[in-house]
Amino acid sequence: MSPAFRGKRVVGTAVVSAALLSTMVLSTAGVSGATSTTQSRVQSHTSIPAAVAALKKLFVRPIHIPVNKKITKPIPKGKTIDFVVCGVPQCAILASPLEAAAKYLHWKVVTIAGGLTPATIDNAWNQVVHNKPSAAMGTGFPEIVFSSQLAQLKADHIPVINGFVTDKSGAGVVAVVNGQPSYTYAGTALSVFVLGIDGTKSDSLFVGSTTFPASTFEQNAYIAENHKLCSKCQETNLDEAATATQAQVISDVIAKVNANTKINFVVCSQPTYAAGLPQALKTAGHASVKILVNTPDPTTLGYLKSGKIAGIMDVPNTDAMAEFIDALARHEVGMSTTPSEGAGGDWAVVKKTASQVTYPYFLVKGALGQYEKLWK
Amino acid sequence: MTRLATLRRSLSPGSIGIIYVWALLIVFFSVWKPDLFPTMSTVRSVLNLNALAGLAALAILVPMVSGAIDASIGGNISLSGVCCAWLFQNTHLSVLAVVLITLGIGATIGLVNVLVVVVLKIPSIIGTLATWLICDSLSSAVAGQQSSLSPPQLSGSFGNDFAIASWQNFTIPVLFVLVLAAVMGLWLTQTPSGRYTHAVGLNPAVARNTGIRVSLIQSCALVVGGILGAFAGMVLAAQYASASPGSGDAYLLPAFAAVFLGATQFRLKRFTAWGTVLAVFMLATGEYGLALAGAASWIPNVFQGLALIIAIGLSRQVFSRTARVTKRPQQAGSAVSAGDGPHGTDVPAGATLQ
Repeated sequence: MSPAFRGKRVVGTAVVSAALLSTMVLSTAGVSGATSTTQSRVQSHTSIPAAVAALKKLFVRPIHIPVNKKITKPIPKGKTIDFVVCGVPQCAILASPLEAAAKYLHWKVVTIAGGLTPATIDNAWNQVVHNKPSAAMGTGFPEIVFSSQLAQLKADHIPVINGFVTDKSGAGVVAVVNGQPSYTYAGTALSVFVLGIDGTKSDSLFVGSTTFPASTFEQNAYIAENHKLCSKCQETNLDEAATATQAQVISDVIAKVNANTKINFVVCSQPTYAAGLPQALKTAGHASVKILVNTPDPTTLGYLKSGKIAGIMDVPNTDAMAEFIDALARHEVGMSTTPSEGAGGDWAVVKKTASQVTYPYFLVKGALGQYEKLWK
Repeated sequence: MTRLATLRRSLSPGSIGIIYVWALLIVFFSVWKPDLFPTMSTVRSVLNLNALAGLAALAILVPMVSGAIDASIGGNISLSGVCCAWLFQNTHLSVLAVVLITLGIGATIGLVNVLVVVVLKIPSIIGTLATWLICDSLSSAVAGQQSSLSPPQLSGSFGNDFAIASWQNFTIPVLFVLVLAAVMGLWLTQTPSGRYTHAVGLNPAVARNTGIRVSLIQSCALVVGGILGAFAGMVLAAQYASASPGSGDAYLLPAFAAVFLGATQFRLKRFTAWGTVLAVFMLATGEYGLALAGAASWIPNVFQGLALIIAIGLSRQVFSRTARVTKRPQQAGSAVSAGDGPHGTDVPAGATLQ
């Protein structure tokens, strides 16, 4: 290799490396500015009475479903519902409670896999249009991704009930179940848990993904409640890409906690974010950092039972599937669907109550039976 | 060539560029974040959090040395992990029995790859991608309607032995990676079967003409890759104390990135165990440094992609120049000159990879 070539290569390498690193620095500077870290003040070690009182209520498992208005007209039988289910594991478990609720009204549910890509979602909703069911339901799909099919379904007078989204009803969607109010409630409940446990010394890391509008609602509600109940408390947000893997999330969380060793609570807006986290925090020397998870799954329940995490905020996701049926029943008899669209209460599950949470994770014990009474 | 010249060549950026880039990254982040980056905590985090990626990369290394790309690794890790958890949850088998059965599942996946790649002669990248899809779907089927399986044994003695046990807060998967890399490094360079595997990967036709049983070598490599993939699946299940369908998919691309990047290192420009491990931890250092500095979640992936392109691009340039100089007196026709670089870096040439 000639000295001239070697020199050029070294210069080239240096330029490329410098450009790469500069890009990273500039990008990082811009992004870290967007991270919402509240400036700390002098920390005291006092509890926050309002948070403690609210948490005390959250420790009590709800015993009543959020809907209490009886359907007074006879509900038609023999309906067929096409249910488009999203491709994440949390969605997959929702088909069975929907089928169970539909059975009470002698309705049949046809499950259609919606996947996660625009193409698979498009295909699934095209199939619904082709099937011409009595009604269609979906979880986790914003209207915008199936707007053309929605217009066709509206033209065919096929009611659509959407859920687990932040859209509002209208344009063919007759009701939105487990929508904005639920996410706002969930974010508030998460904040109450953290502040109720740690009081004014709370310094939390909220792990979410603004790719999903629902997560943004939760996060905003979390921050708002934090600021409302404790102006001294800090919170930092970690915005994960939709495609982030468990390993990436863990690495990001550990880096955040290493960068700010005052963080004493990690709040995971999805259970998948918590998989492997207790062990990773422990080996990184942060065993005292507590973890709160939104929504139970087998992994996080196992963690809670063995004391690896502080708590799980049990939300009425499974119960909401009965609300889908309730909303359709109300629509079919010409009643308002508003009672089915409200937020259900959450339940703060801790180690001693973890054994009460069992698959498929109904929040209210005997929820289906309570709905049945409204439908008779 | 004098000893000094050999040493100089061995230590040149073209030979061990990853170490220089790694050092550059360490210096850069240490200057940028002096209070956060140059700490033992960083070392521990980089090693602990990326040991599994190292295991996945080493699992695909053996088939790649033999000239076959094993893209089924993601599905293998997922299926093995889920099967391991399912066995704990639904049977009373001992830990040893579960481990052996799970490794057997990995070997079976390897045998399926043998059927597809060696017997049916389907190009390995396509055939093993199909195996990946099948394994992924099977992992969902085994898990049933559960989003994950989390039997208590995964966080008990099994979890401890495969993921949690630590020394100075360095977890046992780090040891697995180092031991495996050492064993594979020795096997590939110091044993006849290792050298035959390299020969098959470099040029199967020439290897066959010299009496090496190409099909047997590739079959063994695919089965070994399958078993190592299953081992990684068990470590993943133990690390998370749970197993989810599709959870291994995330390791496919980082594993390939590490193996290809590792192949640009050292003089012979071949797939090597230590080159692979170095690449895993070099990339991980950059990603962790960026995360520590508060980078948005998309930036580490950009870093990984750019680092791969730059490292391979520079190394390939250097190798091409060196090869031109050394080829002149030899002329074409030698086994090693069939490709223009290491097995992986000459994929477009297609001479050695099926």
